[in-house]
Amino acid sequence: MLPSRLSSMMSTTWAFSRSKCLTFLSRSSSSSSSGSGYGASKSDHSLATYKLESQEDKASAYASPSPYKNPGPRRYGYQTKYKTQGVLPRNERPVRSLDPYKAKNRWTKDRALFGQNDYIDILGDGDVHPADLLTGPKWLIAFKGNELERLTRKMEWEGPRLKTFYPSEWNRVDKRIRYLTRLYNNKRHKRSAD
Amino acid sequence: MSLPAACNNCSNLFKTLESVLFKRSTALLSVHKCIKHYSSEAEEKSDVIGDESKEAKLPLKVSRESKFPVKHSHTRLAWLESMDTLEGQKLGMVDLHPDVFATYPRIDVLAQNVKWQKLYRHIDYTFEPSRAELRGGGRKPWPQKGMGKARHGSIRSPLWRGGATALGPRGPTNYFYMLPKHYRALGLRVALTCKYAQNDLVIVDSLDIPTSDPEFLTDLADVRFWGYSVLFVDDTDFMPENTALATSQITGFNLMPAYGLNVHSMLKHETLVLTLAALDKIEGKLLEELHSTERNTKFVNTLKPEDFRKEPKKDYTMYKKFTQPLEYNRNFYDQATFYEDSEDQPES
Repeated sequence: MLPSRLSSMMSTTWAFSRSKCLTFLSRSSSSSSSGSGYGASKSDHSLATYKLESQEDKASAYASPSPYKNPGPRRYGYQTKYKTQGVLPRNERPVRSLDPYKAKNRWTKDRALFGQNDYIDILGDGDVHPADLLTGPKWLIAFKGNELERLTRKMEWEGPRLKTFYPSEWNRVDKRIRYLTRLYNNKRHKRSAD
Repeated sequence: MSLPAACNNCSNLFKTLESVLFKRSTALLSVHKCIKHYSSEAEEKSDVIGDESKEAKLPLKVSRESKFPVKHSHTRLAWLESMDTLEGQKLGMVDLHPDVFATYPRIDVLAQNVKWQKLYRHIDYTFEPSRAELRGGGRKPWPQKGMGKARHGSIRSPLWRGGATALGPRGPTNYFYMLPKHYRALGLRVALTCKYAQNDLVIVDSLDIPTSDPEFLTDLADVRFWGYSVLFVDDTDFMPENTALATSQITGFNLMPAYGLNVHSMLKHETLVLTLAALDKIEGKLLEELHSTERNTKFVNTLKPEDFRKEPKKDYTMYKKFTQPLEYNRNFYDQATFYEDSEDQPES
């Protein structure tokens, strides 16, 4: 037997913890009912097991009541285990097909000073043009054209170098030029390239 | 830099910045003396500084002369501030040209400019080989008829797994184009106008700050509500050491010379801080462009392969005039033994 003092203490603590538990239970049940019906706990009885109210029922609320017996509750005691309305919830399951979002650093050295000297022909002394400051393949700098024009320009610029050092690349470009010339001049109305 | 002198009547810390102003004073600037703002005690304290600082009393009014005055509008005004203290000092007022700082806010022109800035440098390197460039695929995989299978002519057809992509991206593609010059100048003017209208334009006498501590600059920006990103623009590309050291440690605080100013950076940064010299230069250049009678010519790429062709280095040493001994032979010439036989021995 426990001493009476201890038992009284225990009883008080039990009562305290029980009241806390009760509040917790009520909170949890309210949260689960407000959250999602899918995979809800057993204590959740928020889903309707009765016949859903329809427009007709509302309309007949003001009519005289039927003399016949109303069909009783249908599927009494059955809980639907799937969601009947709305978009299916993800229930905090991650999307595996997508990588987690990573915010880019917008203030790296390149991005912070992006566009510097783009107006140097207006604000500068006038001897430098922004097109002079571009970088990239030499034969492509400040040049816009379709694929055939680009390839012919590439051959014009570094054809001999390609032929000596990268002969298969030269063959590829040459073959493509031959094909594109035929395509653009004879068959372009049938198929649009570029 | 002159020494600070405290004014007891008002809470601000005063600094006589006459020396700073006179450093930057050009033909465009004329400094007028205005109302006395010093208490007697402050004057006594300022005896240390010297006679020159006694004459310069704040606020100073700074007026600027424009080459292209207008009648259709009035000049806009902006404070001339200093960056010596956190709160700063209103050194005077600067008048801004309405054609540059009060144009119509053409947001479409801003969008055009930013789009151009992004595209004209953009080269897309994505490449997909065509069915002709893949290996194999020349042989017919199976006979046309009699197999019960679909007819196919090549294993590299786009229908096949491991086949080529139909109409895929081809090679490095350039998106270069030049926006007409007057549109780009208009973009700059509109961006400056928007900055001024939204109270994001600050004009300072110089970018000098007392310490290289980045905390001072962040505090300064915090006190003056400059936001998290500030673009400092100066006339030259030699920036003050303290400012350069401080801004290099703060993300979002950037330095730029006047010729590097552009629409994208102005829109990216919350606040634009111009020095008076940079303001003069930018406004002058933009007004010149606005009033020039030069017709806009279409950009023509005149680059040729010859411009980039590397020629073998020529040894030009023999073509030089031998007025003095060659640098790499100096040791040889300086030897005492060399002068022993020669008549023109230097006296030393």
